[in-house]
Amino acid sequence: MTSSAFAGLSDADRYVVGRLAAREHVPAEELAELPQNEIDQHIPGARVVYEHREQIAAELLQRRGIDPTSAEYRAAAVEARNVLDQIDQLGSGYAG
Amino acid sequence: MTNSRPLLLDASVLVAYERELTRRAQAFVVTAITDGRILVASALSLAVAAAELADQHRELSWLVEDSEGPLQVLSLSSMNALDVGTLAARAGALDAATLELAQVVHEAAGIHAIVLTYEPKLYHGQSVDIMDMRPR
Repeated sequence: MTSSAFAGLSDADRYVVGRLAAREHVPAEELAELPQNEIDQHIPGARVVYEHREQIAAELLQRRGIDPTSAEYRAAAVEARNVLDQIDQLGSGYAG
Repeated sequence: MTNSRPLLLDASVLVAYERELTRRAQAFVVTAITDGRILVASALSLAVAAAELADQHRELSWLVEDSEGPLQVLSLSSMNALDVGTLAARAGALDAATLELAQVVHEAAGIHAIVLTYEPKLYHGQSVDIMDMRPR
């Protein structure tokens, strides 16, 4: 029941497992039952990215000279959210 | 519920991220990062995007400079190169775009990723989920 093991992980753990699985070219479910500290040892930077994701996003905006309060950006962000909502409706894609 | 499948950006999205003045691609990447989505790109997509951008890929470089940074590049190695080449050969033409498409499709199938693209027609007939990024 590897798919249920994956579903039972925290958001942060799912992110780290997913990053390692992508790097290793395998579905995340295949790694979900490994001890989390072992996963972290294989890809130590992934949890850092997850925990600092808001700072990374802010740095990205700053680099691009984008004002997140501008009407143009806010419209683009609404569109981005709509795309992500559509992605969420595609389903997990896992055979489980 | 948030979908935890990796989001695979193809070369068309990588180019848009670097160039787009309307901020659509940048806003998508920022929102996805903030959400904690897994963003990946194939090595061949990055190469094709770099070729198209010539020497103008400063922001893309920043995004991928750390192998464990916010955009993970899926390598081409002994683990997948033979499969990617074989898949490309079935398409007939052996050019960079065909090789890129083959790696994108191969990776998406292997890790259950959703492919984000501005060129959805490229993926007709392929067994992968795609998200059309063109303006609605």
